[in-house]
Amino acid sequence: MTHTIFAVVDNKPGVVSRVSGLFTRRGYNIESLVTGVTDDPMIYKLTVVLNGTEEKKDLLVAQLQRIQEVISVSVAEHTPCALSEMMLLAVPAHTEEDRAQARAFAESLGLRLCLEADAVLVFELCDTPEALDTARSAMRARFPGAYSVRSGAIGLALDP
Amino acid sequence: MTGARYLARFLNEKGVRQVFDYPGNSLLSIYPALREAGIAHRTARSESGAIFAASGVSRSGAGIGVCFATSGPGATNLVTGLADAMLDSVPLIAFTGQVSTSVIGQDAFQEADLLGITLPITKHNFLVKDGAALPTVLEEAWRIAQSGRPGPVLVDLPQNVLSSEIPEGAASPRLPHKRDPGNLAFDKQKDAFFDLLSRAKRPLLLVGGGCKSASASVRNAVSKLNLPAVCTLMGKGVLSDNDRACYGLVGIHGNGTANELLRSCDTLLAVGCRFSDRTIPNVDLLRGKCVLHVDTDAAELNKRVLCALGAAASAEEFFTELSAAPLAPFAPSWAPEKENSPAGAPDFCLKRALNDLANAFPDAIFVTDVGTHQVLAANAIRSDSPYDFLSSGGLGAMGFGLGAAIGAALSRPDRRVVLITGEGGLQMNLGELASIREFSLQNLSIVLCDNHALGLVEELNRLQKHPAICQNRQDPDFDKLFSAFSIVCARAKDAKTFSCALSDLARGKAQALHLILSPDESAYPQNAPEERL
Ligand SMILES: Cc1ncc(C[n+]2csc(CCOP(=O)(O)OP(=O)(O)O)c2C)c(N)n1
Repeated sequence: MTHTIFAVVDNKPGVVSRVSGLFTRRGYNIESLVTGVTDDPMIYKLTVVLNGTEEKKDLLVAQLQRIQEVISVSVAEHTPCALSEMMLLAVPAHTEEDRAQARAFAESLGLRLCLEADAVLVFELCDTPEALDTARSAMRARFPGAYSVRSGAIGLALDP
Repeated sequence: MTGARYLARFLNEKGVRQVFDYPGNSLLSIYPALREAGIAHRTARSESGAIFAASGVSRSGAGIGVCFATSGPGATNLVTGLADAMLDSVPLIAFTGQVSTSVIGQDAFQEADLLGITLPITKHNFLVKDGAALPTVLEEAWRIAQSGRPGPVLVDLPQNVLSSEIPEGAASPRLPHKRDPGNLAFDKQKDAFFDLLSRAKRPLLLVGGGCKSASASVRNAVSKLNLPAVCTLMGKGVLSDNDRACYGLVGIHGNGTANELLRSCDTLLAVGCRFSDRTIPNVDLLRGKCVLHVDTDAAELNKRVLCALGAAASAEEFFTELSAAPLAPFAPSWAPEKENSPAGAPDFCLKRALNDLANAFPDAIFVTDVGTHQVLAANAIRSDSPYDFLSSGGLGAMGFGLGAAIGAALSRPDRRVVLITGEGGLQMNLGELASIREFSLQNLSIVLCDNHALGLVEELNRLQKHPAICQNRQDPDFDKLFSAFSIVCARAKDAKTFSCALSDLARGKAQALHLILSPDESAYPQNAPEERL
């Protein structure tokens, strides 16, 4: 089960080490940790995607809360929030025909061409993590040589 | 005013009268500043001695222990003491010298990344890169060390920050964003909590170190409700060991009766403890019981043991509410009579000697090192206050004892402090013997439990049927050694010599008691294997 957790933190040196150190030390299985800057340069918002049970998630929330720089923690499941992630996906394409096919298929899935090199096209998609999963599976099914990288999710919790 | 002066003045204002230290280049500006502020610096024989002494100050309830170490090797020598304080939730502050900010990151002479090294073994740590931040950092460090669940805080001070001018008016600490969780959550759960407790037929209270500052409230609630109790090593003394309701230490190193209670209770109310693997070696033991867990640190709830109900509240808040709750006292104790240990033990053995020692020093603060003697002492010594039995529990750090005893003796000059140590642990910080004379510690007595073996590990090793690890270890002649440090030592090798030597120790004719013991005495206080957990 994956859980998405948001932490609002003071932007102090070392704060990201403290948070990431906690994951390693306590053996959490983290899918992503993204540090987001906010409009206030003194405040960062971290988005953590965790793989684990409900209890593990509650424990992580409590452990995050005891880090001095952590101002507040919320959980996506309990908070109205917007979630978004970015993916770059490359499709090897050597001939004009390959390129046209890749392009047409990618665009039908909503991907946007962002780089055209000699033997490869790179597409970009910004959407929910689930939508990225779907698009990636479809692209890789059609173009087995395709490869991708993802940014990890960021979220904006609509705190009351 | 320079950073060094500001720091010394700050400590003075917080009531610090002495600090433990080991000097080095990066710290030189501190000494004149401490002198000006009227703070004594007690230079130990190593930084690890200094930090254990600071821990002894805090653990004996004499305020927050403070120590100083120079950059690089001095600072890295603090690591064990910090980890020890972290695991036992001991409030202390370590100040470390650091290379100047202009060369940080360049592998300068005696540069070490103390922030990185100590990140997981401190409650919090700071690197002060700018003198203007010093006032805020000091206030924060002081607050963090003792708030909520206490712990060690490290403040890394670059040389140029110590010598820089602190701008006037910089001392307006920005309020931290962080909110304290408080007991709001507990207020909502209170009724459910007390309802579950009221249904218990065989309730048992497990007292952990988190109850130390709430001793009076715990005692009050226990007697009001007729609640039998057992404790962890850190919770020892919260209830008086002389109290009928207090069954003493539970767990791997606990006594048979306490363990039996734990096994047979139907409701376990655990307060201020973290269910460590020394206390509950196997969490299945608690299956089917109603576990109610209270800790000021919400991150302890459901960490090792899933509880029926967990509350993030301080022990003081909890026990005050408990005493006021409309709960009827529990049926006259379902628990058996307390067992009285050394029956059946040989005439002269560690168990018996510790019992006699407890009788000879009824009002002392006892400090132990780590090993067989520690476990047996935790069972033999009857503590009446949570600040009277000092032991390295979570980390089990050999070398703790002598340093901690020195800190306790210096900060509690009104009390006798008795160190109980193995010969292995004593040798780990042996140099600190010199500090006893250096600081004229007349109120410190040493009991050296010399079993000529690294007893506890050799026993564990024997249980695994491996050949001995350290046979014929060439130990020094301890009697001569004590004498070299100007410490008068009495020696005992049997019941007869023991009674003379103990009386010499009690009357102050000797400062050390050297016990020659069998290497085979077991660290397991339980009389029979089925009493173990
Ligand atoms: C710093 C450190 N190193 C190693 C150990 C492992 N250890 C635990 S108890 C023990 C033996 C202690 O021997 P001694 O001080 O003679 O005390 P005894 O057990 O004989 O009473 C050892 C080596 C430890 N706890 N701490």
